[in-house]
Amino acid sequence: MRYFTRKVGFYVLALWGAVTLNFFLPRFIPGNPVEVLLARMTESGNPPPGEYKVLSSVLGIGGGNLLDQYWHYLRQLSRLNLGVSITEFPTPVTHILAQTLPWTIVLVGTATVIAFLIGTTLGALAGWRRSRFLNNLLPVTTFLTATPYFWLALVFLYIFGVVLHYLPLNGGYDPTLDIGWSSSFIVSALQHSVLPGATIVLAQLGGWMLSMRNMTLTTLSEDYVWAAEAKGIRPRRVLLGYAARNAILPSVTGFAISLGFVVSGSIIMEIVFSYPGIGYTLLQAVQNDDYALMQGIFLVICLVVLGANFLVDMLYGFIDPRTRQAR
Amino acid sequence: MRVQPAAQTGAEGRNDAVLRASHISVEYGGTVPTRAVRDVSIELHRGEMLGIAGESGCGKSTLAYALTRLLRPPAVMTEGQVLFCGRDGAAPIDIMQLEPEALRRFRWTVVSMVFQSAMNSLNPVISLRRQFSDIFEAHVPEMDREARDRRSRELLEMVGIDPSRLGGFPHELSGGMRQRVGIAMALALQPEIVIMDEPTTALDVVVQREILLEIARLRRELGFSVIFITHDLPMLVDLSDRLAVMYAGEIVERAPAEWVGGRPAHPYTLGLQAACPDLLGERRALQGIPGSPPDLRQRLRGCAFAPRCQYVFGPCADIHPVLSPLAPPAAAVIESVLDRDGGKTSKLNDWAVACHLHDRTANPAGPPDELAGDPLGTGGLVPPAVGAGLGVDPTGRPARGQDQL
Ligand SMILES: Nc1ncnc2c1ncn2[C@@H]1O[C@H](COP(=O)(O)OP(=O)(O)O)[C@@H](O)[C@H]1O
Ligand code: SF4
Ligand SMILES: [Mg+2]
Repeated sequence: MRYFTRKVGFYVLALWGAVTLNFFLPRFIPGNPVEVLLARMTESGNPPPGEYKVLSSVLGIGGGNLLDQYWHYLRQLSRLNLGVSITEFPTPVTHILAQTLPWTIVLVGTATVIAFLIGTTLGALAGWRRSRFLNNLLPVTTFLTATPYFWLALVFLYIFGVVLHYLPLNGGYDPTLDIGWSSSFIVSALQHSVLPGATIVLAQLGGWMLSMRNMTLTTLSEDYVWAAEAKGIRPRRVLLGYAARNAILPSVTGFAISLGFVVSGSIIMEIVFSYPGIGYTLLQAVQNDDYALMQGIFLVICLVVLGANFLVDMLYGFIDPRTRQAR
Repeated sequence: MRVQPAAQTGAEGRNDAVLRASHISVEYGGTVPTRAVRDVSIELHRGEMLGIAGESGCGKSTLAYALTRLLRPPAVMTEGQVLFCGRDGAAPIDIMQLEPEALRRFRWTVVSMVFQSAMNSLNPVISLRRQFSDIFEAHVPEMDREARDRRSRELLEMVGIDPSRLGGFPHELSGGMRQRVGIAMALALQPEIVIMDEPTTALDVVVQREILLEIARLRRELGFSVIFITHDLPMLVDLSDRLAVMYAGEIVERAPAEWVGGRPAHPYTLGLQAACPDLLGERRALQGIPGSPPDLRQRLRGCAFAPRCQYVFGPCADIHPVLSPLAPPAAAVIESVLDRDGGKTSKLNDWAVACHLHDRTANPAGPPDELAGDPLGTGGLVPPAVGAGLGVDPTGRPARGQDQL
């Protein structure tokens, strides 16, 4: 139990650190970002009243001393008021995040999990049986992983979208449909997710497979696996309960890291496929000098990285009891 | 649950072998293969503890794992047969011929092991309960969860560990406790044979002693046979019924333990005895054998021990000494002594040695006193009553011929 309280304490501290860092970041923007933002807003229409104050607090550069500014920043944050975006003026930043984040998390998150599951399973089998098929597959998957992702994505887009017309070229859904839980919308969203999802899976699969195969080979030479065989335990159980069970431990840490990168790592994919997720939004925010939106996205990225690591840390405590004891 | 009879030793044990291994050879593959075990034949009697001694690297572990088909690549058994003879006169099982599933079921129910490093042989990340359960699930599928738990607790209690530890993990136990858990696991299915490969080497002397006493007690209560491997010869002398000394992949001496304790017949055994402190008795002066065992990748000519042997003479460099029964008159002395000792004569066939000193044609003078072999530990002096029998064999027995397994 002490392990868990300690971990929770650590993450609360890390969260505070991330939020505070976010407070200081806009100070490095040349000039007065609030003025820039307001100037841009007035170009597209009338900013809501009091927006100057909100923006200053959110960007952490309002009036008063530093402590006052910090306090205001935290207050706005706790009300989930991150200002309005100029990219889609005058939509509140929180609103944009709420719209785009699910697309990214569902697609990239699912793809990451699938890549991990398939890659790890294939890797364990490749190490366990030394099957010729799986070990011949390994160079192929490793090649796909080593290929720059945007290139892989473009090749797939070209073959399946442009040449074969099997799948839609871009977007996250058919824009002629209303967003909602209708079946036609869901089918359209699924169709649009196949190419981006498949390319992510293919790009990540090889890494998981290679590391799991190597770890399985290492684990197989451990005495406890051999001892399990000496005990006449069934091969299936030896694989699942001893060899793969222990070989997966390092991969779990890697999995935490890649879950944390679901949001930030999806940027290239979303640009290639013009996918309506948070990475694509970040690109637009940068192009438009939309500091408030950028600030909001950075905050989300921090939260996701922390959240994923927290989740896996908790999980790790269960799957490797030794960590619970480690100081 | 099967009930094991108490340990049997002595005359009737002679023909009552549980495990009979013949002409075992094992190689570790490589550009130049390591011939780790070289044509070894050995027999384990029902209920006995057979000790295997020898410096590290002499092939003890390799032999033990070959017996149970537990060799890992690159090790290959190039030759040999291992027969397991069950009770009730059932047909012997040829272990090398078992199909994978039959082999799996054979393992642990008939032959189990205690490993040198309990830390490494227990899975560090699953609970002891799970590891006990895995054994029962694999071999006694009809046991339900509760029965498995009950039996696991019973086993822990049997080796002196608080059953509440069942939910714990290996890293929470001390070295001695882990080794006790290892022993409890080995006894989980009441096997006939337990192979212990240096089970106490990693432990400090006090814990080592506790564990050895524990093993002795369990053996008295459960009557399983043990192959006990260690580099500590004096420990084996105290512990086992018979022992075999290995050098360079071969058995160089094999005898009832207390005899070798009295006075060994092979120069290597003598050296080993001087090299180890006596665990239970007083400490001896530690004087190791100079040099180290040969590289087993080489072809060994003559006696493998020759470069380190202080008795080396004529034939040693070229002729390979084979394991043969101890030659008379020592054997005659023994026989006469034992006849008076109450019919233990049958044990005699068991004293065998691979050394030219004991070959009367090569060395007509016979071995020096300290290697003459002395079942009673009389310090090389033949007791008067026995001395009278020298020359004329009082039993009238013919000199024994072929070495039996
Ligand atoms: N995995 C291996 N690969 C190659 N040679 C090995 C391997 N394991 C053991 N050997 C060699 O086999 C010989 C016997 O080893 P082993 O049976 O472990 O001896 P012991 O148990 O008596 O210390 C040694 O000379 C060692 O070098
Ligand atoms: S055969 Fe020769 S070298 Fe070998 S142990 Fe005997 S005396 Fe020594
Ligand atoms: Mg060994």
